[in-house]
Formats: sequence, structure tokens, C-alpha cells
Amino acid sequence: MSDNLLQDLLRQRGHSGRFEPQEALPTRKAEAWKYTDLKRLEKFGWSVWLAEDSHGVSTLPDAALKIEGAINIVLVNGFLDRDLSALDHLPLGLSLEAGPASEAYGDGFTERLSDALTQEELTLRVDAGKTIEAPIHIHHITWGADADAAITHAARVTITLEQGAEATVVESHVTASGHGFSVPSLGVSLGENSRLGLYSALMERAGSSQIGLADIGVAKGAVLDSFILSIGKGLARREVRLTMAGERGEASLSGAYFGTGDALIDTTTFVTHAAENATSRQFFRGVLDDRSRGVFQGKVLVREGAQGTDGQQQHKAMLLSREAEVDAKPELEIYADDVQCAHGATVGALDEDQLFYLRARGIPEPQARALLTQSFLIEAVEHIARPAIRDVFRDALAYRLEGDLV
Amino acid sequence: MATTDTVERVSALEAEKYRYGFSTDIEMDFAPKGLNEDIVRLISAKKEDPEWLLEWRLKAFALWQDMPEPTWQKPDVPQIDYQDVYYYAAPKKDGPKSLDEVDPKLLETYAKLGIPLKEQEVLAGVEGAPRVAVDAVFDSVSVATTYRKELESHGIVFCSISEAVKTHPELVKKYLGSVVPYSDNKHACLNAAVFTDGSFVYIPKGVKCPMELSTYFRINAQETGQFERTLIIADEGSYVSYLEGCTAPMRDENQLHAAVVELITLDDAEIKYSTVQNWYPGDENGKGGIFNFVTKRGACRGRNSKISWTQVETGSAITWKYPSCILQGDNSVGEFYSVAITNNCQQADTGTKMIHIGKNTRSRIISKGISAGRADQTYRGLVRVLPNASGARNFTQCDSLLIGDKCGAHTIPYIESRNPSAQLEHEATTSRISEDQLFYCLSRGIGEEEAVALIVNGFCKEVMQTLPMEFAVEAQKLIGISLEGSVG
Repeated sequence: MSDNLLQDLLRQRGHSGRFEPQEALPTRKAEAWKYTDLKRLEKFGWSVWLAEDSHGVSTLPDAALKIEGAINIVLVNGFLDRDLSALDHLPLGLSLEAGPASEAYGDGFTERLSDALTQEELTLRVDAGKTIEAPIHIHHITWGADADAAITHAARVTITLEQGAEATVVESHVTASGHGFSVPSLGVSLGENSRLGLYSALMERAGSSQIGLADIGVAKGAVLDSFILSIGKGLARREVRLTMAGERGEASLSGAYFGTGDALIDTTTFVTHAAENATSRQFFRGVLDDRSRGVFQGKVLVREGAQGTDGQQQHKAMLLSREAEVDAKPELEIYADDVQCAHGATVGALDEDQLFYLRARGIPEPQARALLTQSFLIEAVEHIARPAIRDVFRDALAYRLEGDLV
Repeated sequence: MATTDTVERVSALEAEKYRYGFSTDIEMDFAPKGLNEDIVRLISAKKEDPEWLLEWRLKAFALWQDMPEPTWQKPDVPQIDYQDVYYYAAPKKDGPKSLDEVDPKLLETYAKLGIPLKEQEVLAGVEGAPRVAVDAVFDSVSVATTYRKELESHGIVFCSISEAVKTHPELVKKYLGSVVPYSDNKHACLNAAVFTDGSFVYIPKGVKCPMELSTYFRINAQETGQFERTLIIADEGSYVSYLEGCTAPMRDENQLHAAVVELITLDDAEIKYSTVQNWYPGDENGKGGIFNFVTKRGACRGRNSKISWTQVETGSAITWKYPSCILQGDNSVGEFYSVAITNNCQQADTGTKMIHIGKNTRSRIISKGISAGRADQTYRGLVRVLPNASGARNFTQCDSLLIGDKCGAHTIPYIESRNPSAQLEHEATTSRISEDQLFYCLSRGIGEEEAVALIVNGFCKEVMQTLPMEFAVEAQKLIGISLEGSVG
């Protein structure tokens, strides 16, 4: 293995995309990676999973998120598994295809990494005016031949809702065996007056790393409801680029994260208001325990001419341990005057009074802490507009907290 | 005929808009233009520096040469030709011993500026005149320092830094560069190499300074950058309020101002540092104007100490500074109150840093930004809580007001916490002047510009209230003047 991990991966992939010959992973000197150190990736000798490799996943792993009545689509190590996926009886108006990856968007490191590593692209389309009632659940599963296996994979999913279409998509990330360094990308396009619920659950095991990207465009009158639940135990960075491209679009982008051990959870959002009278809402909550680290970088850009913009953002974090750390960088960049933009960010600890109250009623400290942590994070989960998904995510969060705090 | 008429009217307007735009003809003693080691040595020799200070300057200069220009800022900073600047320019006469000896033309300049050089009243025997000690800086050299006697009777040292190097070398050597090291950043590094003057204040143990200390900076000679260095030390249990106000003559050339201000508070001491900055902002098209690149930082070294920064920034083509507090002592307090107004083509990138190191340290940030015309403004701030800063507390509020659809307002806070008992709160808003408020004023016969000034003053009230009285009055007027031409 060479000392340049990035070049090593590109060599294995046989495609260097838009990377310079000597280019390496970004360091903390780069502003966008100021708080997220990728050095931990160097602990493993990653092997890039190729199309011809075969995996041993025969059923959904125990760790997988379960949603009743969902259309399950399963990707193992970045490739669609037709046997595990319910492709036969897709509802009318929904189409799904897997094919070679297209080139992506933007010049950022994550975009270029995704471009270079992605081999297969899954294309999901909802026809104009159609409503898909059943949630579409895309499972991203990392599988290694043994516990020490270190697999690199990159899946790309594009979701297109034509005019007036409606759908609910859940994408979850779990580890079946070994550990993964994954670079999933999502390209989402909401047509005029369409409605999409887009929910992500990042639940990978310790030692795993993920640098994910979601690029979302919201057209005129379209409504996006989205949520990121980040409760994995490794490094999980999710970059969301949301563009309010049409008048009166509405977007809710929320999330909750919980870090333990050495986890590093990074949520980096970039909301661009490019059209008039659009609304964006961001609501994030995070709790960090042990030596974990939380990063929230959220930017709202209002372009010239995007009058009547309403852009709100809130991030609240709580530290439970002396060694935990949280870094937040909420950012406003505004070039139009008729706007209502605000962000709020707070960092604090568990309220000692509340803790005392619970303990005075006979609840042992660990349970009391878990209860308070849960109620703090659930406030974010409540932002999920689809009740069925809200329940599933609330339970997943509760299960994760119970396993760790009690 | 019509053309001449217009030209005259326009130039009359220009003069009106920048009331303080004139220059005084005084003989200057220049060092040649440009910067090299010889110039650094020359400045050092002119200032009769001790050996250690010369060495410090040379080290800074050597480092500066290798330091790249910063590029992370929001403002578009033109390439600065450091070789096209005079680094030493001083009034030719030797330091005057009293006000009588001060060049009358200089006093005339201050009189024209309407600067309350209050001691004139005092000298004229006016009873009850507010006592404000002024260490006036005219092109890099202090030419008049008053109230020395009264201050001396309290053991307070208030003099130019070059004088302090001679009279209090132990203090200067101990504290100079201890808050802003010469290696801190490109501009602070340049300042360390070539600083010519600035103020030095030492408040001894237990002394509450009986008057507000004030320095008026003016940039006068064409193409002389100002490299002030201010050092204020508040010893245990002492208190001082320091005012810094700036006006500069109208010039076409961009002028570089790279000052450094260092504040140190020991146990139970407090420093209140207030600034009103109204340097020439350039004309409507962004021609000319001052580059205000200042490194201001205070260290709360002692327990229960406090540093409070207040700034009203209305001038300069580019304002780029972050008055900061390093809260080392347990229970120490840092405050930052700021109003920044940018109009026409002005750019500002300003804010603060609060570094919480000691236990139960507290900080408060209130920033009000007003952007009009084609101006662009950024609040950039850092609140960092280190692992030992148990019980640290921060509150930050950044509000931006936009006037017109061609300007920009940006907010970039960094919030870093490594202690679970710390409580940090940050909130920011951006909006425009409320139509309702404007309508209310207009319907009562208040002109549009006046109404805007009124509303903006209300928007800034929280900050203005922290300014010392006489400064607050001046600053309120400034807000009105700065926003002229931004509406209608």
C-alpha cells in the first residue's frame, strides 16, 4: 500500500476521475474539512469492491432498519442485489433501473471522490401526478468476507419526481460484516409541485467511515421533508446541497445525531435560495458522549434576486462527557434584502435540575440521563412529517441510546 | 458652463459628505519609500530602540517576508504594493514639551475636525470641562500628551510607546508581543517590524483611572501607512476606559493601516476599550479609501478580570479586524459590542474571538451590521471552550440589516466546545428595514434619510449604550452621515 490512500483507492478502481496525479485526501487545513480529520481512514488497508466481486449476503442483516410495508431495494457494497430487492411488483408509476454511473455535480472533494469511485447508478423515477404510497427503502449494506475486511464502495442513487408526483424514500446504511469506507451519493430532483419525504439513517459500526453526499433540487411549489438520523459508531459525514430553484418551494431539512466511543459525526449543509418566496427550515440536534465529536456546518446562501426568502436554521448540541467535543459553524451569506433569515446554535450539557428531578423520583442515573438525552433528540425527530417513518426513526434512536447509556 | 457648474456642485457634495476630508501641510521627515531591512533598522534607530527591540523587529521582518498574504477573508483585497509605502514619516520638529510648542497648524487641523480636544477648554480655564486625556497621534508620532501630571499623581503611565520603551523598559519588554506575537498574522508581523508609535498605558495596582483616556489617530501625509502599536496593562484591581477615535483626510490612494492593540488585565482588573472609526471610505465608486487591517486582542490573565471591546466602524474602504479576548483567568469576562456600517463600495469583515480557558469564564458578543448600497459585510466570530473551562458561558447575537438589493450581509460564526458544562448560545438574524417603521416615520413628516438613520440607531441601541457618553453622541451622528445616499 502506498502512503497516499486516495491514489491507492483510485488505482484499485482503475479510474482517477478529476483528481490530480499526486492529490491526497484533504487535511484539516482545508476550510471544508477544518473539523473532520480523515486521518483515521489510514488505519485500514481498504480494498475497493468491484463489479465482479461476489458477496455472501442472503438475507437482510439484523442491524437493518425495518419499515413495515416498504418496498425494499438492497445494495450490497454499492451494487444493486436483484435477489434481495423487491423489483418484481413495483407499483405503477415507479420505475427503477441500475446502470453505469453518470458524472456528478460540482468540484468539491466529495463530488470528485464520488465520481471517481462510483461504478453503478440506481435510477428511481416517479411519473408525473403519481403517488407511491408504500415507502421505498434503499438498504446500503457493507459486507466483508471476515471481521477484518475493509471494503470501499460508492453507490449512487438518483431520485426524480416528475411534476406533481409524491413519494417517500428511506435510505439506510448498515454494516453486515467487516467495515466499510463508503461514499454514497444521492441526486434528487423534485419537479414542480411534487412532494418527497427523504429520510436517511446512518447506522454503521465502529471503524467504518462514510463520506456521503446529497444533492437536492426543489422546483416551483415542490415540498421536501427530509431527515438525517446519524447514530453510527464510526466516521459519518453527510454533505447536503439543497437548492431552492423554484418559487414557493418548501424544504424541511432536519436531523438528530448521537455519538459514542470515537465516533465523528459531521453534518454539512448548504442551502441555496435561488428563487423568490421559497422557505427552508433546518432543525438539528446532537448529543456527544465518550470521546466522540460532532460537527455541524450549515450554510444558507440567498442569491441576488431571491426576494421573499425565509431561511431558518437551528442546531443544538449537548456534551455528556469531558472528552467529547462539538464544533458548529452556522453560516449566512445573503445578497437580497427582502429576506427573513436566522440561525441559532447552542451547546450545553444535561440540565442538572432535570436530572435531579428524575433521580428524586427513583429513576437511576443512567436511565435518567438516557431519558433526558432521548427527549432532547426526539424534538428533532418530531420534525419528520410522515408518522410511520417518524415512529421507526424514534424507535431506532431509542434502541441506540438504550444500548449505550443504560 | 453647465458642466463647470455640475463639477463644482459635485465636488462641493464630496466635501460635504466627508466632512473631515482635508489635509494639513506640515513638513515631513520621510524615510524613503519601500521596505527592507535597512528601513527597519532606520526606524529602530530613529526611535532609539534598545537592542532587544531591534532584534525583535528584525525577526518579525524576516518572517514577514516569507509569510503569504491571507486569502480566507471575504473582502476582495487588492494586491498591496508594500514597496510603495512610506514606513516612517514624522513631524520634523523635535517632540514638543508642552501644548504651546505644538505646531499651531496641527491644532488648527484638530479644531477644524471638531475633535473635542478638551484640554483646550481646560487650558482656557473652563471649569467643569470633562477631563479627557489625549495622546494625539499625528502621522505616527505623539505630539501632544496632556494631563500627564494628574495621571502621574495616581502612578498611571500614559505616553507614547516609544517613550515607554525608554522610561518603562521592563514593562514593555515583559508585555510587548505577549498577546499578539509578531508571528500572529501577516499584518501584525509587518506592524512588529515597522511600528513607529502608538500609546502605552499602565494602571498600577488598585487604581481606578480618574478619566477616560483617549487617542485620536489621523492619517495625514499622503501614502504613509500607519503602524500603531498600543499596549495597555491594567494591574491588579485597576480600571481604565480607553477611547480611540479616527478621522482621516480625503485621499485617492489606498492607504494601509496595520495597527496592533494588546490589552492585559491582571487579577480583578478591567479594561474598557472603545473605538469610533471613521476613516475615509473611498468615493461612491470605491476609489480610494483606507485599508483598516488591525489586530486587536486582549488577555484576561488574572482572576475576575474583564475586557470589554466596543466598536463603531463606519469608515474605511476595507475594515478587517477581530478584537478578541483570551479568557485565561478564572471567572474572567470578555465582551464585544460592535456596530459596523458599510455603504457604497465599502467592505467589512469583522467580529471577535472569545477563547475560554479558565473556569467560569463568561463572554458576550453583540454585533450589529448594516449594509447599504453595493457594500458587503461579514461577521466572523469564534467562540472556543477548552476542556478545562468548566462553567464557561457565552451569549452571541449577530443581527444584520440590509438596505437595498445590491448589498450583501454574511454571518460566519465558529462555535467550538470541549467542555460538557459550558453553555453556548448563538443567534443571528438578517432582514431589511421594516416597511412599517419607515412608513410610520414618513407619515409623521420625517424625511426618508432621517427616518433610516433613526431606525438604524434604534437597531444599534444595545451597542451604542455601551459607549462613553461623548463618543455615543459622535457615533450617532456618524451613523446618519454614513448612510447618506443609501435610500431613495
